[in-house]
Amino acid sequence: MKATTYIFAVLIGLFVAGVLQASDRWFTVFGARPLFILVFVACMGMVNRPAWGAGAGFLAGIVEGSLAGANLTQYVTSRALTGFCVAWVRSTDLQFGVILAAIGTLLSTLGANAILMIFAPPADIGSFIRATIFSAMYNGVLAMPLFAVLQHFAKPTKV
Amino acid sequence: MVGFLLGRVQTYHRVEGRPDPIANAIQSTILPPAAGLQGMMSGVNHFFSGLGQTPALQRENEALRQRVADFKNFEAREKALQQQIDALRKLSKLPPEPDKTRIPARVIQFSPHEARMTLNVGSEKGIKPGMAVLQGDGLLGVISTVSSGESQLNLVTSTQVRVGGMIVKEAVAAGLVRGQGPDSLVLEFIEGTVKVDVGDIVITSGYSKQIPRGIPIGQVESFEKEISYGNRRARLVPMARVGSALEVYVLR
Repeated sequence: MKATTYIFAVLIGLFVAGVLQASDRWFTVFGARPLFILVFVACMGMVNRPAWGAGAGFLAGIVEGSLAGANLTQYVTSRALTGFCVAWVRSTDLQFGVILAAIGTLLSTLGANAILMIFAPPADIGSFIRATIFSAMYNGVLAMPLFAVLQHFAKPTKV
Repeated sequence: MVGFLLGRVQTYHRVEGRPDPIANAIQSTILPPAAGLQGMMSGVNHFFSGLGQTPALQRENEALRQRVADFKNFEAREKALQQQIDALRKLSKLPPEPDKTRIPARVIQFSPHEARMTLNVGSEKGIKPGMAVLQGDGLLGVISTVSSGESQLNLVTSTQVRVGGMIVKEAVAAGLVRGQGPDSLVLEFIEGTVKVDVGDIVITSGYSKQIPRGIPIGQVESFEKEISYGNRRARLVPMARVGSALEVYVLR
């Protein structure tokens, strides 16, 4: 993916994901809230090199932390690490397909919120973990069409 | 590092009591379109929930249409009855209500045991205690208390109500009508000469500023003469049907 295309895609993608996440009550299914921004970070990581994955995660952390009204350091760190890790896994010659993208997004959601939990332990850890698991499954489903679109428009680049 | 710096900037602004510029900028960019999206989703949700409720809405619509049709029938019947009453008034040569305006009112409360009703009109419409309340053309009661937006009337069948009444035949038989129960009135005659028959109509005598002459009060059901007291009295069936009084008129 070219740098300009990448920046444009990240800005547009984060804007759309942010808008959807701020309206998440309409997308809540059986109590599971989708984390659109994390879905976007994971899918961007799957079609980009690690540095760009980390960059997308960094910006995603700013957006998500701002929307949550939380400390930006915790969100920026957890999302940037997630973006980097996903892109790094792809860089190890692992060929992501739609199913693998779903599983990868599920795991990256769990990982991102685990990192967030370490930086900022929530008051009710049990509820947080339960909500994260449901969100991770939801995110996995959402990642399939998004990854298919991103893969179509941005041919994954080799490192 | 940058993330840590962002956090420090954020904390600094919060400690200073100022809004965090970064979060503020992001929220200003994202929250307005999100609000628009939520409004749109809400509209879509209402549309689909409306589709789900279609059978119930159709049933409700049908019931409302039926009620409208019933109401139109009721209106037509009321109009026909009013015309009939007007014709009867002309035939009976009853005088019209002079200088009086009919104020339409709705009965909003009915206390049968106290023979009292509450109307939805009050002092703002110029209603005053002592004014006559009609149901159709029959006297239903007399206003007793008035407040803003509401007034109470004692039914003509209430023992607290005394109204001057008379029977107009070849001569006038005047007296005082008082309530005797839920559906019974008594007319005690002042003079004892005029012949009274069952079926005679008793109207208001008009010896009052607020209750004009000629309002039908009741119909003679029986007539008796109390020899021991030397007076005569007639039992009347009230013209007004208290149980079905919903829309009434106050004579102002």
